[in-house]
Amino acid sequence: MVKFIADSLLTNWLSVKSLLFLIPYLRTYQRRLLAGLAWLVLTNVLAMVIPWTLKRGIDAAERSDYRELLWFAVILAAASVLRGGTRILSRLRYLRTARRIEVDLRRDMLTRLLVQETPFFDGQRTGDLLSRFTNDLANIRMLAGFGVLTLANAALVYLFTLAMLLNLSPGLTLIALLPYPVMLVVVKRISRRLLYHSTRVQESLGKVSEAVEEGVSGQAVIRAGNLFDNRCRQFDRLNDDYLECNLVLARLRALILPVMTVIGPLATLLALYFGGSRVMTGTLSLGELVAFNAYLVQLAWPTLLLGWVLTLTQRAAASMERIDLLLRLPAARGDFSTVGPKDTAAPAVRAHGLNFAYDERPVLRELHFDIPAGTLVGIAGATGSGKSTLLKLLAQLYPPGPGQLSVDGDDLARLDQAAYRKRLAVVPQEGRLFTGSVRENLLYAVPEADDEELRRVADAVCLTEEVEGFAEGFATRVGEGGLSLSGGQRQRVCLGRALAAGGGLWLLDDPFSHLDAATARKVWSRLRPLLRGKTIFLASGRVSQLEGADRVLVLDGGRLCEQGTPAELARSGGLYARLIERERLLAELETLP
Amino acid sequence: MRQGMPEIDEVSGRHLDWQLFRRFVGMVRPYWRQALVSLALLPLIAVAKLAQPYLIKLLIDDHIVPGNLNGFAGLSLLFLLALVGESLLLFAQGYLVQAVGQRLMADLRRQGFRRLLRLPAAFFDRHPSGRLVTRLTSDVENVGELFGAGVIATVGDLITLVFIVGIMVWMSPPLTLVSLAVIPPLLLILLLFRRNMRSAMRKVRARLAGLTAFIAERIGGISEVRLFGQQRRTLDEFEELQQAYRQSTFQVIEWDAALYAVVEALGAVAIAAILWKGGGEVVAGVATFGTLVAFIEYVQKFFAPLRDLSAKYSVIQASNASLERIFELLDEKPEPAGSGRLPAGPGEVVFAGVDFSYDGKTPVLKGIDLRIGGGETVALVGATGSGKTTLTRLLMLFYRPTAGRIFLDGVDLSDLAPTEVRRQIGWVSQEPFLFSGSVRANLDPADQLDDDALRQLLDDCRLAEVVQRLGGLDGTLSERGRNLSSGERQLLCLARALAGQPRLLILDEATSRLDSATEHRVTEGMAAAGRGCGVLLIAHRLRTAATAHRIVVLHRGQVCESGTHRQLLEQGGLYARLWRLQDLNGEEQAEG
Repeated sequence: MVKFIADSLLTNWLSVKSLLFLIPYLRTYQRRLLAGLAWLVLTNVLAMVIPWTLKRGIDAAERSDYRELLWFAVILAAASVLRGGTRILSRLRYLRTARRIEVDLRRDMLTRLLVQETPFFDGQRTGDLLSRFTNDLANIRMLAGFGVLTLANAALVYLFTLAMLLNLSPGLTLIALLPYPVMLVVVKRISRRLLYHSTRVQESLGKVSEAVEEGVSGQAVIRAGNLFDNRCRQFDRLNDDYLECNLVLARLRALILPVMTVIGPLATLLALYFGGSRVMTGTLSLGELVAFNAYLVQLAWPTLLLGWVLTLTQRAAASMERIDLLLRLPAARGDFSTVGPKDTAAPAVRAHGLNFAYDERPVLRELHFDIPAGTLVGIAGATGSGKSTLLKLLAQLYPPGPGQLSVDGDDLARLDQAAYRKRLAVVPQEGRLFTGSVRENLLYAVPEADDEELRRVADAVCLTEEVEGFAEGFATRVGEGGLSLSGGQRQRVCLGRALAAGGGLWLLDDPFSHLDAATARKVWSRLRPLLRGKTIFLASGRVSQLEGADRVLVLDGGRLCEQGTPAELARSGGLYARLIERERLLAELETLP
Repeated sequence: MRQGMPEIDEVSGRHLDWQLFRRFVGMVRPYWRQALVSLALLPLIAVAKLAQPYLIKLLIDDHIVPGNLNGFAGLSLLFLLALVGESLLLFAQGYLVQAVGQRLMADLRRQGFRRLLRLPAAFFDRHPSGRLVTRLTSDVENVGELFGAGVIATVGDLITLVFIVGIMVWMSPPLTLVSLAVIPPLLLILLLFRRNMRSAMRKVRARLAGLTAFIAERIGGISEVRLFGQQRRTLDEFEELQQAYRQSTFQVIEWDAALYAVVEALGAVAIAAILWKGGGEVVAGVATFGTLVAFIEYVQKFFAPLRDLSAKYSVIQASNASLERIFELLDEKPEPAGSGRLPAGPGEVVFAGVDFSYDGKTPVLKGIDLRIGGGETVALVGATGSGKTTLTRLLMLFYRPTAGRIFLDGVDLSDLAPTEVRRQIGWVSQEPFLFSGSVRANLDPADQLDDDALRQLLDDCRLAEVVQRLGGLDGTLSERGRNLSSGERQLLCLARALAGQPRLLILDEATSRLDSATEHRVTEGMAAAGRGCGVLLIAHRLRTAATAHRIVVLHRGQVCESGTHRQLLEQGGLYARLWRLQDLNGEEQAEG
C-alpha cells in the first residue's frame, strides 16, 4: 500500500516536487516528530500484543486453564489502556506539529508580503492572496498533520502486522493477503478516472461561480433588461452540467468505498477457510487462527484511511504551488529591527527628467524641478494629472528611474529604504487606519509615546474635542479599516499619525479632501507652524489650499506645465489661473441655496 | 489589548440548530424515493455486514473445532455471498446518498441564484460580490456532506449499533453485559467531548477569523506599514495573534486525540472483558469458541463508526455554519413584484414631489417635480452628487421614493410590476456591462428580432464593423466583453437597450467613453433606431446635453433650472456657470 502511494505520487512528479518544500518545515520539528514516531512505534508494539494475548488466552481456554486465561485478559486490558496513552502522545506530537507548521508558514508568507513593493500588490487581488492564507494553508495543515500521521501509522501497522502474520503462518499470510494487490489494481484504476473526473468537476464549478459572479456584478443590467429568466436558464444549464459531472464522480467514489471496506473481511474469510482446514488437520491452533484474524483486522482501518490521504495529497499539492508563489518572493534584507529615531533634517529635492509609467501607461513625463530644503511645495493639477504618482515616487512606493529623482544629492533609486523612510512623514490620499483605538492609530509610528504626545498630536489636527466627546475617548475603537469614523475624522487621524511620526520630508496627498473648507483651513493653520523649516510637498485638488506655498508645481497630463509662486502663476493666466477661477465658480455653486 | 487584536475575540458560533436541520431535511422531499431507498438499504447492509461474524461462529463451532469438513465450503460460500452482498449494497447506497446530496446542492444553488437576482438593488450596495459568490459555491459545497456523511451515515451507524446489541443479547446476555460494560465511560467521554469541543472549535474559528482579518488589513494598508517602518511591529502583533490561535487549536487537538484513543482503548478493553468472561464460559462449557470469536468481531464493529467521530463532528459543524448562511440568503426579502399592467402610451414620465434618501438620513432628492413628454429628449445636468443617476434609478424602480410618486403614462409606478416598467425603458449605465456569450445573446436575449433587424440595429449604432471582427452575430464576447474596447462596449450596450424597442431611453453617461466624432455619428444613428422614443440623458459633457429639447439642472437633489440651452445661457444661472466651467476644463474634456 505504501508502495502504491509512493508509486501514484511518482506518476505525478509535479505534485511531489511541490510537496518537497514542506520538508524544511517538517525538519524544524524533527525532534517532536521523532518523538511522535517513537510513541507511534510503541503504540503499534502494544497493538501487536492484543492478538497475541488473544491467542494465548484461547489456547489457555482450550486447556481449561482459567488462571492463565485471566492473566492474559488482564495483560490485554493493560496493553489496551497503555496503548491509549501512547496513542494520545503520538497524535498530539503530530497534530500539534502540523499547527506549528501552519503558523510558521503563515508567518513566512506575511513576512514575504511585507517587503514586497507596491507594484506587486497592484497585480494581485486581495481575495486571492487571502485565500492562500486560509484555504490553501488548511489543505497543507491537513496533510502535514493527519496525512503524515496516517502515513507513518499505516507504514508501521503494515510492517509489524506483516511480521506477526508471517511469524504465525507464512503460507496463510500469502493467501490471506491475496486480495490486497487486487485491491491496489482496482483502486489505482478507479483513482485515475477519479482524477480525470474531479478535474472536470473543478472546471465545471469554475463556470458556475463565474455565472454567479456575472449575476451579481451585472445585477443592475439584469434588472433593467428583464433578463431574469434568461440568466436563470443560463445558470440552470451550467448548474445541471455541474450536477452531471458530480454524479459521475459520485459513482466512482461510491465504487471505492465498498472495495476498501470489503477487503478486510475478504482476507478474514480466506484466513478462516484455509486456516480452518489447517486447524482441522492440526497444523495450526485455534488460538493462532483467532490471533491471525485479529492481526488481519488491524490492517483494515489504515487501509481505509490511505484512500483518504490520497485525495488529501492531491489537494495539498495544488495548494502548495499557490503558497510557494508567495514563499519564493524575494526576502527582506535585515530583520526590520533598525527603526531608530526619526531624521528631521529637511532635505533638498531635485527631479531631473523624471519619467514614470504604470505598465505601459505613462503618467509622468520629463519632470524637472529643483526644490531647496525647507520649501513648501504645492502640487496642483486635475484628477489623473500625476500628482499622487509624484508623491508615491518620492515616498519610494514605486521605484523611480536611476538618476531621475535625488534627495540631498543622493539618487533616490539607490537610497536604502529603511534609512530614507526615517526622513519621511507621509499622509496618503485615502489613508488606511488599522483595527484598534483612536490612540493606537494616532501613535501608530510611535507606540511608546505618552499621553502628552497624544494630546499634542490630536490638538494639532483639531481632533481632541471631537474624540473626547466619544463615550470612550481616545480608547474608542475605529472599526475595521477605521470605518466607524467619518471620512474627515479618518483623514485627520492620518495627519496626526504622520505628525507623531515626524520627519524632515513631508508628503501630503490631498490630506483635506474630506474636510470642509473652514475645518481644512483651521487644521492647516495649526499644523503649518509645526512644520516650519521642513520640506513639504502638498498635493491638493483645491488650488486655494496652495496659496501659502513657496512654490507651486502645476501638472497637466503628467507634464510639468508651470511652476512658480502662487502669485506669479495666478498672474500668468495659465492652467493654475484657470484652476483658481474654476474653484471660485465651484465655490459659488456651493453657496447657492 | 494591543492594536491588531481582532475586535471580536470569541464570536458566538451556532451549534447544531434543530430548526436549520429540519428545514434542510424538508428539502429532501423531491427526492424522497431515493432517500427512502437509501435509508431502506441501511438495515440490509447491516444484516449483510453483521451476518459475517455469526457465520464465523458457525464455521468455528460446527466445522473447525469438531473438524467437520461437511458443509464447510458451503458455509464459506455463504460468507462470500454476504460480503458480495454488502459491497453491492454499499455501492448502491453510497451512490444514492451522494446523488441525493448532489441534487440538494444543485437545488440550493438554483434557488439561491434565483433569489439573488430577485433581491432589491439596495441589497447589492451592502454586500460585496465575493461573499455572495461564496454563498453559492463553497458554502453549498460544505453542505453537500451534510446529507450523506451527516444524516444518513448517522442513521446507518445507529441501526448497526442496535442490530449488534440485539444479536449479542440473542447469542449470550451475560457476555453482552460484560462486553458492553465499557459503554458508560464511553458515553461520559462523548458527552465531555461534545461539550468541550463545541466551544473549543468556536474559539479556533474566531481566532482564525481574527488572523485573517489582520492579514487582510495589512495587505490593504501595506503602504502605511512600510512608510511608517512598522514591519517588525506588525510581525510581532501577528505573532501574538498566531500564538493565541495555536493555543486554541491545541485544545481541539487534545480532545480529538483523547476521543480517538479512548474509543480505541475501550474497544480493546471490551475484547479483554470478552476474553475473560467468554473464555471462562468456554472453560465452564457454557459458551463456545465460536461465540467468543463472534463477540470479538461484533465489539470491533461496534466501535468502528465511533473512531472518526471527531472528523465527522467538525464536518457537520462546518456545514451547519454554511447552511445557516445559505438560508439567510434564501430568506432575504425579494424586491416587491407588483401586478398592474401598463396601457399603451407615448411613454410620458411625471415625477411628482419625489423625495429620496439611500440611508434614510441624508436626503439625495428633494421635492422633484419633473415631466418628460413622450418622444422628448431631456438632459439632466448638475454637479457630481446632485442626484442625476439616483433619479434614473428611481424611474427604473431600483429604489422606491421615500415620498412622492412617479407616473409612467399616467399610471403610478408603485402599482406596476417592475418588469412591466423596465420593459418600456431602455437603460444604459455609466459602466458598460456585457455577459460572456454570443453577440446575439447579449443584444437580444429574448430572441425577439430576426437577423435583418439586428443587422440594421448594429448599422444604426455604428457597430457593424466591430461585430464583423468578432465573427458576426454568433461571435463570442469574452467575460465582461474584455475583447472589446470600452467605447465599443458602450456602443453594444446602447444597441442592446434599443433592441427592446423602449418607450423611453435612459442614457446615463452612456457615451462618455466615445470620442466626440463617434458620439455624433452614434447620436444620429440612434435617432434613426430609436424613432420617436423619449430620451432621458445624463452627460458629463455639456455639449452632449446642449442638443436636448430641454435641459433640467439639478442642484443638491433639487431641480433648480429648466429650459433650452439658449434660454438657460441667457438666464445666467447655474447652467451658465457650469458651461463656463466646462470651458475652463477644456483639457479634461478632450480626454473624455
